[in-house]
Amino acid sequence: MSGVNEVIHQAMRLKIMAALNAISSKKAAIEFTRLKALVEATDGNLGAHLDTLEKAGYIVIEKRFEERKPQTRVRMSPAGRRAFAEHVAYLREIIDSAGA
Amino acid sequence: MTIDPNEAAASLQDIATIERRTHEALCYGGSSAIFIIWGILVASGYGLTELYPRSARIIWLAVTAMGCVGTASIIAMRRRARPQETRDWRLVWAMAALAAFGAAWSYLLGPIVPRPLMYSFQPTLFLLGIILAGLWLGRFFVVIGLVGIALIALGHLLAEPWLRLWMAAVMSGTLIVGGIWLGRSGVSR
Repeated sequence: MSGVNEVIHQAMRLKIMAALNAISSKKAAIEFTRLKALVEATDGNLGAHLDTLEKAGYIVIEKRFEERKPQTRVRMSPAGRRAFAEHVAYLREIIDSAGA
Repeated sequence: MTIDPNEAAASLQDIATIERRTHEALCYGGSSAIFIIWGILVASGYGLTELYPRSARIIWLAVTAMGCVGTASIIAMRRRARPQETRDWRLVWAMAALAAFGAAWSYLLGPIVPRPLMYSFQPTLFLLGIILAGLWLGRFFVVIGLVGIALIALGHLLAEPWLRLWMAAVMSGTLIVGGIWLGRSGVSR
């Protein structure tokens, strides 16, 4: 059994990773405001957790201008996808071993 | 740091909730263009029927055909962009079956049933399909369908020719505004 991933396991970061993972396409990114609505976070809270996930190499943050307005888009990196899958498998193992 | 089974179960539950919410948002974003296309086509259908009442049957057949082609094209384009995704085609076939059912009964009942009732039969059947789809795809579809049906029912307080105008405004308006609302509430990739 692999250990707990403390970066991902924090409640808000787990939600962020789950949302990004559900957008299954590899190159697909989600706009900051849409992600904020999905995970029910505030601007500051979401920004801080995205920084942590970016430093861990689990997500990629893209900043660009669309129609002269700044837009922040977030997508999951391949490393993030792997780490999330491992963390979910770890959570399932805990439940399975408790039931055995 | 250790995680007990209760905490692990709660985390998996959180993941499932967010996944469901994200899939709903993706579905809203993906359906937005389809709703807007149908709204514009329905508005054109009502307008042309008003100008050429004798060609009503041909006009609505053309509107339905264009709507189906547009819907199928959007679905096919998305499928090409993301071939790894699986789509449940049963829902598309269910909507097609509902449309065929409505068309057949309109043809049979048209000469017998009072005209104002026929004005609302096809639109309410179409909106019922949206409500039923919403049971699987997300609550916003249910809201759009219910609002549309309520407005159509309200239209029966109006006399001709205002009823036709009301139907045109309600059907095209519900679809276009609903489509914009879905786009704003949804996520597009």
